[in-house]
Amino acid sequence: MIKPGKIQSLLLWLLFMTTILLAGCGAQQTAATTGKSGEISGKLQVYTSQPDSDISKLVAGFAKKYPQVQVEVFRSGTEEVIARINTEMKAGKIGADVLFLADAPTFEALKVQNLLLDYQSGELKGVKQELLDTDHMYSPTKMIPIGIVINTNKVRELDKVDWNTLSESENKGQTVMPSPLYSGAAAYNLGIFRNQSELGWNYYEKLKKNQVMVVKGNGDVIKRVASGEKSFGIVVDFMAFNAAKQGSPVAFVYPKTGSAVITEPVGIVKTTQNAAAAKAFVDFVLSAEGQQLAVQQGYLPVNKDVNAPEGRSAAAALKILNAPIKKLVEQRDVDKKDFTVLFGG
Amino acid sequence: MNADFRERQQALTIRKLAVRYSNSSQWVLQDFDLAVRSGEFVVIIGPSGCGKSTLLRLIAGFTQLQQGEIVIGKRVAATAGGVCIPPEERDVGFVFQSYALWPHMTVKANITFPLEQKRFTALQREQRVDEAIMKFGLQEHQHRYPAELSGGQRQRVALARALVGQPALLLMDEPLSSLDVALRKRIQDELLIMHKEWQPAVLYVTHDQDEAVKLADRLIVLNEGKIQQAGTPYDIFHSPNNSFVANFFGEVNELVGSVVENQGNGLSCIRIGDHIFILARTQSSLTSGERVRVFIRPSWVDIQEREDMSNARITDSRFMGAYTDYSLEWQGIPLRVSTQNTISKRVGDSIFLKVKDAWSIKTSE
Amino acid sequence: MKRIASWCLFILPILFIIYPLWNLLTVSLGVSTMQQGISLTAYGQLLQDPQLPTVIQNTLYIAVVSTIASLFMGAMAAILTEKTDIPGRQGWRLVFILPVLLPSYVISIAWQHWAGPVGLVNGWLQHLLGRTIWNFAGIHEIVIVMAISHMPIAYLLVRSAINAIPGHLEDAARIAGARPVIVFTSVVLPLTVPALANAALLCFASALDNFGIPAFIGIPSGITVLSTLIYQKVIGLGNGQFEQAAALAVVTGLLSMIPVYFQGKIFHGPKYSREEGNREKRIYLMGKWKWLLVLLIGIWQGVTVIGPCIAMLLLSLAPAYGVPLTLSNLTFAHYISLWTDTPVVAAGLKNSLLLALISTVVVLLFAWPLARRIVLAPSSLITFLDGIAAVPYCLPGMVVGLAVLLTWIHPIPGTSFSLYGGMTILLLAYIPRFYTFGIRTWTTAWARFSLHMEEAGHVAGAGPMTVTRRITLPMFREEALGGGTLIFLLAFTELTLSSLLAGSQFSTIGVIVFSMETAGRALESAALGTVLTLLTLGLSAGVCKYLLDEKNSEEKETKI
Repeated sequence: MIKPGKIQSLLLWLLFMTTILLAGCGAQQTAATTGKSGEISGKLQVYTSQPDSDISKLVAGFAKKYPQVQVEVFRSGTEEVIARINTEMKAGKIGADVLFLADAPTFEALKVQNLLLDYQSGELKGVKQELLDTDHMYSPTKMIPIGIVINTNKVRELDKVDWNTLSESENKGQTVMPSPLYSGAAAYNLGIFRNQSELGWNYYEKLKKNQVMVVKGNGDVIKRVASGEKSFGIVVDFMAFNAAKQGSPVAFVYPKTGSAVITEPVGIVKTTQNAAAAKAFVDFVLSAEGQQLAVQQGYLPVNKDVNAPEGRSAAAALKILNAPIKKLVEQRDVDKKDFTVLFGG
Repeated sequence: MNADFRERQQALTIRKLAVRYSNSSQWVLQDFDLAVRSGEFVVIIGPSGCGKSTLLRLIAGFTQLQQGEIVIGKRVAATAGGVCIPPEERDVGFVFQSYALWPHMTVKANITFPLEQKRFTALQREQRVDEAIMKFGLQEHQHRYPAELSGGQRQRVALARALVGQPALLLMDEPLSSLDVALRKRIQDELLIMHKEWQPAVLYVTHDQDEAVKLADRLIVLNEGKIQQAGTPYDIFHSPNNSFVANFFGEVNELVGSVVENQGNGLSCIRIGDHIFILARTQSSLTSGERVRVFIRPSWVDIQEREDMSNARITDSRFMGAYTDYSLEWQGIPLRVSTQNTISKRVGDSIFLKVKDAWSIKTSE
Repeated sequence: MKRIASWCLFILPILFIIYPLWNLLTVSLGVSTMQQGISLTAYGQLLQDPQLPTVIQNTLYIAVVSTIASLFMGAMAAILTEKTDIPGRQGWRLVFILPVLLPSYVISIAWQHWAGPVGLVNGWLQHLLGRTIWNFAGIHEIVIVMAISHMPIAYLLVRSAINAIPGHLEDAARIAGARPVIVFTSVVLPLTVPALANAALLCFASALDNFGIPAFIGIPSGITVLSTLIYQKVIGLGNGQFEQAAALAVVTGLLSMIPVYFQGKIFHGPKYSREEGNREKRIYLMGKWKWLLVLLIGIWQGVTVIGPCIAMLLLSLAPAYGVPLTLSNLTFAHYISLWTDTPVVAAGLKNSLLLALISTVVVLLFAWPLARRIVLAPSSLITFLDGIAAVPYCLPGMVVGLAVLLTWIHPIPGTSFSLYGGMTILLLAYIPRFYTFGIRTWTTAWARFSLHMEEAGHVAGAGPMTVTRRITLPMFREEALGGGTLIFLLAFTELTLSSLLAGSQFSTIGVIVFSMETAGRALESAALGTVLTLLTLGLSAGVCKYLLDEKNSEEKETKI
């Protein structure tokens, strides 16, 4: 009979060693440094809700300017990024240095939790005063109105399309929208609508009655309208314009009633190990160069001095729906809960 | 009896049968003729691979033949490239080596199944099944599943299932090979009783000579696809057609000699070597001077301890229980002998031997 | 040293399997929070959740209907490939087991582009008839995709049951006067009943376990099941839901124990005991019908497996969503953008390969000593450990994932170091999850070979290491390769555990496909799905033979 003891001991020892080694890998963390020559370097972790291709172009632009900085990106929907941060707090350590998420109320909530670093960028001159955070915890980077994308094969009369079109019975089952449980833009839109007398929570109830489809992200909305599965979608403007540019049969409408506009703010996490690189990143996003890059990707710039993308009206020309930001922050959990009850998950 | 009448009495007739596997050029059976009369118990015996199982599968209709024809009862069951009645319509019984009892059916359901395939009223069916269950002593077990039965009980169920439809012909493919020796002997006895009672024609395949000899009315020795010899067990044991048959049935001393004189009464005087002359049974056609093969079974030799005479020397001995095996040197010829007598002589001692019986055939060359 | 080894054998499963599950239970009972004692608050909140009844209803509906469909398809497929003389059986067999090798989320993507509301098929129908005929959106689409992806489970089980039927049983029925049809219905079918029942339990359990399909199809259409609800409670809704998620996981875990409970109970007893015997099998001649059946199988496999894969491939080559693909606008841009625009893809592939490799090696190495004992020196303790090892695979992946997350997320006391976010926490989930596969691999290997072969080696003077290296392992090469590849494939394309456990810096390829799909990057996710399909097919070449158990089916077939 074989005496298996020796082999087993060896195997277990191997296992033990592997575990130790792997634990070592997990622990690896590059310390943030400012290089000898005062040049900015080190690792920078950005958590964002921007589409992959947009953020990777932005990072490429940043890397050209700061080749010593190694930027890593984690992308998901705004609400999932927040959930991730909550999870990481439980684990004792937030991985992010920079947060680059959809809307201001999200950052307000983070501010309340004392997670953000106070930083007033020098690049904010061209930005309207009312968009700025008085505590300098985050800075707006773009103007992203939320409107209606339509499938041009199915809907011909663009100018008649307004928010109410989506709740008309003839368009039953023809609308798709992103979930406020995943998308920051959708959550913001819900908050703003609730504070408008002509739309309100009632509007969402009407949508539900009209069999609206709720998907996770804005990208999925575009996909379903482009494919013709749905005729209308509630979505952020730039995605619709970009899809149209690529050849998808879609067009975008800014509703006459008005649009909620998210500003995709950027902020620095208080516990960052590499504040220098984080600040440089924020500056780059707000700089003329960064804004120009955003324009190329189809965004309306937040800097008045940078022109809107070709053939698009500037943000100033739009009717913007607003609400007090404090109210939006307080309301958001209720919004999400009500939404879950109305639409389920 | 004319030929026509005999034909009617046949349970199975096989003529000029030949078969081979589809992907091989080797014939499994070739030029094969066989007839089994009603009520006859025929045992086919041969080493593994001799084609005996294939023969049963052919008769049952599981395999197609390439030449010849098979007639079951009065019905032509299969001809080369022509008729081929499917197994379910051939009306034969089959007992498999593995019993092939359906594990998901009770004993009773197993036995009822064949009747359900035929036109019987429920009452008739019930009567027949009950009768079979009783005859095979399975009353206590009828609601059990095969997995709950002992080997012998399974054997009985398999037999009952094969016989319940009262087929004219029963095919049995080494049905006792998975039982231990003691149980096998008992089942063999039961089998003979059953045969008397149900009177089917049986074609029984085995590779066990003891079993074959015990069961058979008629024995057929098969090797390499051909019948080597057919006859009663007694004939085959005492007068084998060739050295394969002789060797297949127990031990035999096979010697070469020449005929000195054919006495005409079935006996010849034969010279073996230079000095040995014996009287042996022979085929009648042998003439003086012909070369012959002489078969002497160990039990056909008598050895005696005689002080005055000796013609052999003991080279080895082995006590076997009921008898003792001796290896002798018989005037230069090695000979194996078995005797029940008690002999005090040892290895190296001289002894007197006497051949009581011998059988000689013409050598093939 | 030997005693340490024995202790490890006992302690490691407790630490990495029992402790996390215990922890899950305590979290659900509120023990981890500051309150004193246990509380049922989380369960109370769960009960008040207006969603829960719908979610449980959805889960059970999907599980039951998809199980029935998988069973029906699997049994039909097994009968066609194992009991008839239709041409090309080996090829059909391979296509029939394909869906179990592909990750279910890839099948979901492929199916949506094939027969979803705006899939290829509806496009054709629209073109031909001017209107679409079906709309398999939502729960029906989940059911169909789940039925397809679990069909191979039923297929493999029924197939091996059919092949294990000794041909003599069918011969006996024919000679007893039954026509082939009757033989089939009264002998073959009843003998596959236990296999069908087992397949039903396994399909049901897999349906409870599955996350990929309800995540990819259900979440966009608002159909929530238990696994996606747990995920959303942890990932989607933000703070404070861990207790509720844990309570939900406990409930789900209990639900998944139902099939496990029945596994040992039904279809036991003398009626279902089978003898190992002659495995010579019988096949039925279909005559002219066989060409019709070939056509049927061709259409069937075309619709369920091959068509979806082609639809996915075609979509990945289209220039933009909603633009019809033509030869002139065909583009590989999305494949290129996978590497250029999305560095996470390359990183994710690397991570998943690494994870799969380490998991496979560790599982196989670590299963060896336990498997040896199961075969050589079974005791009640060893049997118990064997049972424990099976738990992480019997429980739904989401439950295991949450248990691991809750257990290892907290920083190691006194430091700020947490396993969360790195590779280690994924391995701590993967290895227990796939451990039982390692044990099965080695125990089946040992079952096939006589221990005397090792003993002969020892008698010949070889030491334990030499015997293992020169005798045992070479004999087990095939099993180790087959089992190893299976573990590797499962770990490589894993989504359920990693959707909870992968951190922002260390993601897996499954999670990346998931986030691409939710971000609406359909063309890129189709491209990545195609890449994964090809990778999987390449890797699984060895597993097919293992799953189909070629050695046994090579045995003689006789036509009926």
